[in-house]
Amino acid sequence: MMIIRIAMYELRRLFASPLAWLLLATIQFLAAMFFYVLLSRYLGAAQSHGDHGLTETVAAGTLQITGIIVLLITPFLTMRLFSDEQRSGTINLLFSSPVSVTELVLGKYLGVTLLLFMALVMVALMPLSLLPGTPLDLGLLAAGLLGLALLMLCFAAIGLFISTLTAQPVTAASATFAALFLLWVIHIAGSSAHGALAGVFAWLSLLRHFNALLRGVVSSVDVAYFLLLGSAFLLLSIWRLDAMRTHHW
Amino acid sequence: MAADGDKRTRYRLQSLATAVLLITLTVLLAWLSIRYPVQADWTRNGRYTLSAASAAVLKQAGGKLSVTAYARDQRDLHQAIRRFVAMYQKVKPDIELKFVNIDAAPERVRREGIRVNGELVVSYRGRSEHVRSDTEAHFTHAYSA
Repeated sequence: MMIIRIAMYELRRLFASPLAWLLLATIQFLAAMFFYVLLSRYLGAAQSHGDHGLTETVAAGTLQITGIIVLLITPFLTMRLFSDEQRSGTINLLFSSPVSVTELVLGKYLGVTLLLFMALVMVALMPLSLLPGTPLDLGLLAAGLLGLALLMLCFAAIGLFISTLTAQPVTAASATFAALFLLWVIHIAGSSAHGALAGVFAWLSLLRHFNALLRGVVSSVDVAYFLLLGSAFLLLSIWRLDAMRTHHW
Repeated sequence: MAADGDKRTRYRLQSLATAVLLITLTVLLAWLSIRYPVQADWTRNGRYTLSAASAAVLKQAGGKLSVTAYARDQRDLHQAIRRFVAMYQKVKPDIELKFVNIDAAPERVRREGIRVNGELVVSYRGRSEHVRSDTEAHFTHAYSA
């Protein structure tokens, strides 16, 4: 299968440079730090939590912080996907090869997502390591992990699309960061809106959908939000590259 | 050369149409996803699901039940109240929820004897009951946080 071969090639390329290792290490280090802080704070004030369990405070808290870390990391992972190919001109080689644009986009997307999912598994191991010592609310944890996975899928798609727009990786990275950050904080802009516009902002607010999943409530609205946003940007990437191939823009 | 230009314009128009179609489709699907929501509570104790006993009582209650929330115009608070009432609305969909801004209607607040920001007044069969913040532990937390 062509898509998987492209994905594996992309992964190898990422791991050939120190960048992938560095980013994985950064995610792990920061998530572990926050995990430790949350855990020690939970243990320190065990009385005052009411019905807020360990899973909700520590596990969901860690996953939320990981979401922010992923927001910071994704632009660096996706910036090279297509902008490097454009700058070095290899994009024309790819275009003239028998690989279709769809395969190209999905392959590269799969490569980056696999890398992000490695980080997801490593972060998930931290709350799971508490399992021998204490019962966890595994359903809540599963919902949170689902949320983080969807967040990664969505972020990677946005980053991939932006990398098709420019030949400069640094530009792609900064634009991706701006876009992701905007999605993250858009509910602030929405708080002063009224009526239908407020509804639109509320739906666009990534944090709202992510937090609902972290609370353990899996709603089709939240899942659809991430999937829709992700697939829309993937289709836009295919659209954009297809236009490039036919028009030599 | 002119034919070439025509071709190019046509390509661009086609490409633009594709993009517009794509975005329209996404918006449409998003709207559908909001219109027909399905929700599952994955927490172990069903924290966001009404307990079986409460649900049974609610199911027996015939007639209209309406909730008036006396709350300041704070987004988080409104959201927490909506979430709380939604738990009941899942069992009894015709529960009506209204918001009254306590800053905007001080007269009414005094008349109703409202004491807490976020107080709920539940009206059922001409009787009304005040629900203050301490009724449901997670409700309290939801808007104190």
